[in-house]
Amino acid sequence: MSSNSSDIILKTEGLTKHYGGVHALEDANFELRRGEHVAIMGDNGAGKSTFVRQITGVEQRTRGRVLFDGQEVHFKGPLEAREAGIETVFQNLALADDLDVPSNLFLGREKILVKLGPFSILDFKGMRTATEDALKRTAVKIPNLANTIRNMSGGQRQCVAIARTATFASKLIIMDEPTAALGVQETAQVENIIRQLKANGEPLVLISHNMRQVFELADRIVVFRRGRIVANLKKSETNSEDIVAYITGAKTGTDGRATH
Amino acid sequence: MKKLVIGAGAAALISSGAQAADKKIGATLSSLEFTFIAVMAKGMTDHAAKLPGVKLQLEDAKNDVANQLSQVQNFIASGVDAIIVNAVDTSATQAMTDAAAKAKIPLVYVNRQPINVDTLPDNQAFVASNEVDSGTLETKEICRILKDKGKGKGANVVVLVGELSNQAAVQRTKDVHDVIATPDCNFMKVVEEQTGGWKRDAGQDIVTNWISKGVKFDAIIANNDDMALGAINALKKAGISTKDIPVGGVDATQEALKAMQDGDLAVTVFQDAAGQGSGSIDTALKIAGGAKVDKKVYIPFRLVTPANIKDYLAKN
Amino acid sequence: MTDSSVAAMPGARSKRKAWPAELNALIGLIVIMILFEIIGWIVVDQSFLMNKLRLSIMITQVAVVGILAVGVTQVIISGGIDLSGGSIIGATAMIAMSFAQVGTNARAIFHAQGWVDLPIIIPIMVGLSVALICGLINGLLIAYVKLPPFIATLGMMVSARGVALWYTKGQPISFPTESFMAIGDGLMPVWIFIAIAALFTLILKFTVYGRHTYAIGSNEASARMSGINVERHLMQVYVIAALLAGLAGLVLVARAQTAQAVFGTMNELDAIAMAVIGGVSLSGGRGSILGTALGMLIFGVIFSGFIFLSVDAYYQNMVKGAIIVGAVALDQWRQKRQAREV
Repeated sequence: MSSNSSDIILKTEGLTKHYGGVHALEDANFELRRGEHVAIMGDNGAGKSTFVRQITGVEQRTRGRVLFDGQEVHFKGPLEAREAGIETVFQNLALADDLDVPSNLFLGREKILVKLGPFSILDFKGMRTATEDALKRTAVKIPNLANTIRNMSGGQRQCVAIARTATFASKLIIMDEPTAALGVQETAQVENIIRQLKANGEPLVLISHNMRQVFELADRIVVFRRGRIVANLKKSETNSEDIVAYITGAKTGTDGRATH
Repeated sequence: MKKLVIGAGAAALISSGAQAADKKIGATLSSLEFTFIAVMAKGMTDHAAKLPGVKLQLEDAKNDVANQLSQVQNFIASGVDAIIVNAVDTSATQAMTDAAAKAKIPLVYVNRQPINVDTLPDNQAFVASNEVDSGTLETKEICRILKDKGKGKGANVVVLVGELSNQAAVQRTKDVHDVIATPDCNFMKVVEEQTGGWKRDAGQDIVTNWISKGVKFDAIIANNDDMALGAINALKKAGISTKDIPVGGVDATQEALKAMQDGDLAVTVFQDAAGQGSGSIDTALKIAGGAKVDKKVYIPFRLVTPANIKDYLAKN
Repeated sequence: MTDSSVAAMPGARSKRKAWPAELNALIGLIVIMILFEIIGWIVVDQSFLMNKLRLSIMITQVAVVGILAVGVTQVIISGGIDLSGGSIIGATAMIAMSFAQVGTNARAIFHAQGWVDLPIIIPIMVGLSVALICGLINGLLIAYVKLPPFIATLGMMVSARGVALWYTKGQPISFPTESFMAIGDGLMPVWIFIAIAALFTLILKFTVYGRHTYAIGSNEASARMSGINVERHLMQVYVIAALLAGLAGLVLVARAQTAQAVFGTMNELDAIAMAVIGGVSLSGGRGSILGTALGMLIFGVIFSGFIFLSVDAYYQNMVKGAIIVGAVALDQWRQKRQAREV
């Protein structure tokens, strides 16, 4: 690898999480460079989501180090992670169903017209314009921005969730199975957004079960099995049979360190 | 034997001299913080002071059931001749009844009706005012006023009822209808009747609604003073003089008496706290003297009108 | 990059604007008014609505509970519930009134201290302080101790009623000053309600506070993830609800010209019912002050309508209950239908 350290946006060293006696994540060493899209694959319970939760501070790790943007970090919660520049798109959980699109995009960081403490007056026009820009940037089309999320299709919701991460200058986007609940067309829409992010040079960690999707979108594929990273392969150096073999355990071998 | 018993009781009542000599009475009251109870306590001490040889020991249970029971047990231990209880909790009276019955000491409940009132042993009784009286007195007075006004040929009245679930509200409303059913007052007709839940604002709202409907009424009979005061507010807001429409209540609260002094409230009914206090002493002495008394001894409610209001301003 | 899938995004059908829940309440209100109007002509031989005095009393008699309902509405929108409002009315009423008595009343609570004939700002501030304390306790228990709102406010409902009873051992407090009575005189409660309702309509619609209230009620986890300080916000929500209950208590005593420990009993349920009838969803996230105001008017119309028809209060309660259940059933059905269509 020709990467120098400033080129690395995220790095974990020996990241480990035990739930009582269960070793959900064991000694994970991982690297993500700026502009790079990495896919994480693995069977259910292989440790993918656990890995993400340790990084974003949703849970506190048992041991190991996380380096983000050149600094060691230890987020106490997902909010701190977000403030530091890590935007996470969850499968659901991300949106307030009863609010419209701009309100969701700007939830918790509203644009203000008149500052009056908690009763600060919202800048509706500013948020709407910014929302339109963000949706344009991610090539998302929502017919009616004033519609509440509740009245939208699953794909539209996910697009809004993803657009939200793109609205704010983030340093890293993590998506946890963003298309798991979506139909074919909607999945295509989300994949478009991801391509757009790649074009914009935004780094991405994509957790996915979808082999086609992973090979289309990712530069590199990391496979988890039983809490350990068992493969870390460039897309050009592997194929789907190979990945399946690592996922199922038919093939074992490298851990994260091997590709350094 | 029987004659003797009656004679002794009568003697206690009339002279309270020789027979009542050196009678010790222990009384426990629910809480002296309630004005009504405090007035009742004063009625008891004043009355006892007038009776030679009667020694009254007054205890405040401070609204504590356990406190009250131990006060009763202390009375028994110190060998009083009779006990008076104004119950903290009317559903917790059986224990006190049992304790007194076991010691064969007469027990008189006052003001608050004990749950076991119908099964009280022979030497126990309940002294209070009869709820039937209040609504009856009120309605009869309104009836009289209407006649004085020359409306004896026909008059419409409206009735403000207290909380529907409340025994007093049901009884007082029934009294209204019972009085109107008598030949003396059957010129009156109830044209509207509605629940105001004892509340002044509800009384005001309901009467305002009636006025908006154009209900023609000659008098307002309320189950309590607060609703009557609300009715008076409504009349005033509508520009109707309380001189033309007599309004009646029950309770003789301070505010009601003030409204009566101002000429707004025509009649209210006074529950005689002091009378209940002195009545309970008399009843206790009677039983202690061996006389037989009714299980329920009623102290009459008193009618309060502008004519006799001076007697009541300092009471309640 | 701009391939066809973008244009082919499903969801065109969701363009249809959702039927607002407030419309149900408005239609209900109009239907009930017309019903009373028609029956009025048949039974009483007069118009129910064409009567200025009746129209004003219809609103006046529910305005106090309406003020409480505004506070309860924003609590329900935030996904919570507040059962303590009625008791806070009671506690506020008693304590505030003891500082609003006239000196000519020798039995005034603070006669000995000379705290009589005070300027009205004193009883108002005292009353609101009582409410503030109740609200802070509610907020603390719900936001930080993480008690379910139902339990925390149930506790406050019992305790605040206890305070109201304890304060004078059940004795009513009477004879307020003229200036204090003015708060509740005539149409004053209606004006206060309108001011409060308008203020909170604006707050819920146009401020960060409103946005976060809806967001938390809609999806607390996502609100938290979005960086909203959920704990602090819920604290504010319950404090505001308590302050509005306190204000309702002040208006009520001023109107009744007396304070009694039982004041406000069951008002919290009426307030919740008004909100629910007005389309405020008990699962949070949806509803408006306008809806609650419509729910309040329905209660006012029913109250006056039944007196107008000389029907007993028993039936009034039966009908009120039926309307509450009907409103929620309608809302559920509407939601299910909407969910199917999306």
